[in-house]
Amino acid sequence: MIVQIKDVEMIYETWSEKTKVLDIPKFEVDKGEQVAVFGPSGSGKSTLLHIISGLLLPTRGSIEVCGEKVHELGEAQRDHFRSRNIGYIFQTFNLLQGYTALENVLLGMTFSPGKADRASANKLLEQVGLGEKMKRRPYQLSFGEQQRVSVARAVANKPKLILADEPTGSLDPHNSVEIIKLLKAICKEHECSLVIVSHNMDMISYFERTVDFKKLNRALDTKEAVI
Amino acid sequence: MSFWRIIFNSIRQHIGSSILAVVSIWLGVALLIAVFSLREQTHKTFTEIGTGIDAVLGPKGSPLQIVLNAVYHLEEMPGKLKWTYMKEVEKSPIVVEAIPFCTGHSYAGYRVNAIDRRFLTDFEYMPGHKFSFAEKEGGQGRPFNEAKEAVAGWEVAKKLHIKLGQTFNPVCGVKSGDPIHVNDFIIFVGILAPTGTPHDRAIYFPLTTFYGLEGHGAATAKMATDEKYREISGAYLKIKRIRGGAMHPGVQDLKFGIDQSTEAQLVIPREVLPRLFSIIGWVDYVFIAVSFMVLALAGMFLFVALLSALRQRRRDMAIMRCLGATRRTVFGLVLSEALIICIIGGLLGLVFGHILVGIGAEQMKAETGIQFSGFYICIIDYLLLPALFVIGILTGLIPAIQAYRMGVLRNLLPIS
Repeated sequence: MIVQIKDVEMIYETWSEKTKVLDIPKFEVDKGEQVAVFGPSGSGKSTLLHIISGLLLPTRGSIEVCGEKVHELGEAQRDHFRSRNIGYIFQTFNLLQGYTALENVLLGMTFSPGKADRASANKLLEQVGLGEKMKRRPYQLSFGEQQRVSVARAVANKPKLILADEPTGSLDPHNSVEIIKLLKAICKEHECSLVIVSHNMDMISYFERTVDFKKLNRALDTKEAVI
Repeated sequence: MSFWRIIFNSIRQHIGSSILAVVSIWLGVALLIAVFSLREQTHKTFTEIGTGIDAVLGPKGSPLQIVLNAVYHLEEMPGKLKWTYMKEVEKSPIVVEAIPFCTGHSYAGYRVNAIDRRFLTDFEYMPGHKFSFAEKEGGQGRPFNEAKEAVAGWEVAKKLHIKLGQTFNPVCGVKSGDPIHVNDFIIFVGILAPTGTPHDRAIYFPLTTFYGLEGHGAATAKMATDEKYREISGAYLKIKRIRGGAMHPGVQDLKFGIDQSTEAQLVIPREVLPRLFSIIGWVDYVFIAVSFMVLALAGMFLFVALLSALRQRRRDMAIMRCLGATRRTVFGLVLSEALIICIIGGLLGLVFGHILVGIGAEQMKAETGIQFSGFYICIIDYLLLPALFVIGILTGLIPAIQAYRMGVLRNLLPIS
């Protein structure tokens, strides 16, 4: 099992109120599995990915990812855990604008234990169809191309799990399909699991396993998420 | 991608403010190096030259004025003293040698001093250094032997393109407009090898010639032949040495005795120089303070530049954190960036500061006769790297702490 989530709750606290955004009794992803989690915007899908990646700690519950109990790790350990095991893809690509496509991919390798390898980065960019544009900066690329760089960067550190947060959110339908196909293919080739969250129901048909986030997240059942 | 590559990329991203920060540190350090180097060299050289002459027997008046005139060929002597008195002083068992001189003449802006021939042959202008006419050392010709002969200092010869055999008419005075001894043609028979002292900027001729210059009048002319009437501006005294090369302690008794007289005073340059430095010391401190302020401003500029760059790159830092960079990594990136900017600026400043001193050295030599060197290593050179390290840390620390404490998710959204 790559991801094992058990009784996870996430409550956001302000001085006046507490808002429960996640209440997930169980969520699992197998090694090599590709899962699409669908749900409306603002339902807590991104929070789920942040918790899986260790960017956020849940209020309670256990999260085991790639054999490591993420909720028990300190912050620096979670950073190292992420650099070793997780590839992240964002809706807004989150590429560094001052870096070329190649440098962005190399940056994906920099913080992982292995050496940043220019040849592998070149190969990855060729694989995502950007062999000719690797020296361009993000603003010199189309949105579709930027997301391809983002995909290449996500697999650059040879992760066991790729988390994609609305990867097609900024793309037109044609590019959305292309990116999903690319993402699936590249995850299969690199033998890594994939968890994608999206509000775009058109993507369902591309995944063997889909999860309805409204059913997964019990916090959405309550009319008011305020306790 | 290496840590350094990331820092380089980061600097490149805000290249404008980075270059300005480097330039401001560069200028601050260059100014500091130049001020400290010139200050140290001035003190060292003035002291070396000053201590080269054990004592000056001079007329009553300001001791500092006597030192400036006798040793550095500046100012004017406050009066005259009797030759016979100098001879009496020379008889003292602790006085090895007395070299009489008369100042007050000039040529083309350079001092022309009448002096005893022994000055050119026996006198040590600095411990262990006598004047040389050897061509391999840059000199030419020989010391003057007869009346109407003169020897030029190296700097004078160079600047006035003096050739041996050339003649000149001395000016009776040291100010522009003073009368010229038009009928007295003095011939250059020697050029002194460079000494790096004010002596390079003077012309020397015999005392007898001085007394015999047309226009000085009969009374002065009489001084050439009759010692009883002879007057001089002063005399360099060589004092007997004791073990360890120190001056004979009796010099203080001698000084006391001479100072008590109505005729003259004994001035020991080594004792007077600190007074000179204390007079001009405040200028030093102003320059040093200005240099430190420039450097402090440069540090503040770097601090603001780093803070502003960090604000622009918060998202980049957050992305790096997402990719697995730890808080310590981003802290290190920002701090290293500050250190690199400081060190690049500092090293450029170091080189530029020494170039500045090197360029200024020529001008300083022309003005004072003192040889300065751009390669002179002063105390600030040794302190520079640790100081830059401290400045880099001080300026980079707060931005680095901000980067360290930065929330990842909050900063992942694009900056609009």
